Amino acid sequence: MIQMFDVSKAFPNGAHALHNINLHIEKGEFVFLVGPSGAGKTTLMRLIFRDEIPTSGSILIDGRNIERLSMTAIPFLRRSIGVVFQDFKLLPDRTVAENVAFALRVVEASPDEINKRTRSILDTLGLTHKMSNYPGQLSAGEQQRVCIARALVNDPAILLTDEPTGNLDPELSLEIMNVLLDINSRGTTVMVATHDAQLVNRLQMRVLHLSNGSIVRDALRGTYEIETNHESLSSEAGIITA
Amino acid sequence: MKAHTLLYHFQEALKGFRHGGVLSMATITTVAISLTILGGFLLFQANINHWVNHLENQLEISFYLKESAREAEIRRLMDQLENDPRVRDFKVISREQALLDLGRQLGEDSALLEDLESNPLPDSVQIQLKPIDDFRQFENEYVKFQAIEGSSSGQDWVQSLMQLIGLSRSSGLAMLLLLGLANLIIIGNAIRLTVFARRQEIEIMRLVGASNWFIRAPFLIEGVIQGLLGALVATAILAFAYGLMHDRILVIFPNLDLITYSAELIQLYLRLIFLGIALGFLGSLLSLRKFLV
Repeated sequence: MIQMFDVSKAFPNGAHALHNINLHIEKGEFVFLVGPSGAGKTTLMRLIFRDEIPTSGSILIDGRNIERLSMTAIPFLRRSIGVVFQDFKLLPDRTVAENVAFALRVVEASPDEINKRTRSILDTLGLTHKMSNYPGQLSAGEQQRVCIARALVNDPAILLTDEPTGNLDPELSLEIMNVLLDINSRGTTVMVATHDAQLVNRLQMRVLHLSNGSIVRDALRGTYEIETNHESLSSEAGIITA
Repeated sequence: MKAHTLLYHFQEALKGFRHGGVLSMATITTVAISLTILGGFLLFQANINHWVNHLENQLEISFYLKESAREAEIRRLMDQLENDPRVRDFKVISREQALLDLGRQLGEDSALLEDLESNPLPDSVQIQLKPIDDFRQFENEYVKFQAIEGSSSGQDWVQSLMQLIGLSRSSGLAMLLLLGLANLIIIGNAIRLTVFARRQEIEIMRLVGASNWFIRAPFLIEGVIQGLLGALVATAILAFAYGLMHDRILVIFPNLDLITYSAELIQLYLRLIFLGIALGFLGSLLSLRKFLV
């Protein structure tokens, strides 16, 4: 499903975000992407939905090299990948229902279908009673769920979520995680970037540990082994000096 | 594109336009000012052209015939004039007729002519020309005729004027292109602000897999609406100002031949409106470029 071969990404300012990433994620897997801030988790995700292109190496989604996609094919790749952003990226001047429907508009779904699918996904995520509210009227957890609803409404093969529990209390975090597990159980490949060790340890799923732009550990039923303060500091320092 | 998608784009464009508020107004004002300046220039040039056409249609030249000219030589000249595509009309004026005309022109002073012992005027051919580029060349071709003594070269200024007009037409075109380009940049920048204000929406559309044309559509429609409204304001200003100035100028220079024929003006205004729409469309298209894919 997702394959990376020797993928490196350097930014124009000279900072190296990722080094020689090799990874293989099967269809239907659930993967935690862990590591300290700045380790390259977000960059790795952005490479998958081609918001960034690698400096070297190649990325295959469903066997297709996404770097070689034509301009007109890129939107179709993105429609097969749902993304839940760390900062939600909800439109403040549109209601919950409109924000979710936004993802269906772009695939030119019929108004009936938009209506039906939006209601259905909002129902799944327990947001039906909030559908006419604006994002500003929602709690962080609710906004997070709207963002997940938008990512899922198109029935994507892959769901990428960046710190989906970043600003939620433990109870809400677990609730969101259960939603993601449920989605995964229906066959969607799910990748969750997080630094919530408690959550990772509780679920015992595949863990990819990124540090300083490299995968330092890939464990099938893994836990989040927090780096010692010393290591963590040096890795953070490494990024700054890179 | 499906009908419901098109409808959606129109709704989005109108929403964007309404929400744009001050920015939308600023863009329309920019379009209106730019097009008023451009339209003012177009009106000025249209009047110059109008005046030039008028002058060109009044081009005249007279050739004086030799007293000794033989019948056959005169006939040859007439044949040539008859077949010359540059000649609109010509007439032969006998020396007697010329003297009568002169007397009429002198009016009260015509008594002077009564003192003449004989008629000093030659026979002549008066030619009305179609608009031509090279007046001088025409003259040179004909003075070679045996029957012709000389020409009325009092219209040297016409030749200079023709050259000046040629120059003004080509520099007018350059000026028009420059003004058009400046308009495109100014309007493009105004629209860029509107686009920038909604960059988050564009980013989200992009990330959920909207095609480039899907993202562009509402902005292009909005650009066209802004261009159209700006152009309508510009046209209203120009129509009002031209009507006012037209009358005042004619009071001062009654002989000036300004454009009053309204179909000509309407055509110019329609062109300006079309230009506004095109600039709105292009301005949106260009300012969206860096936000896509």
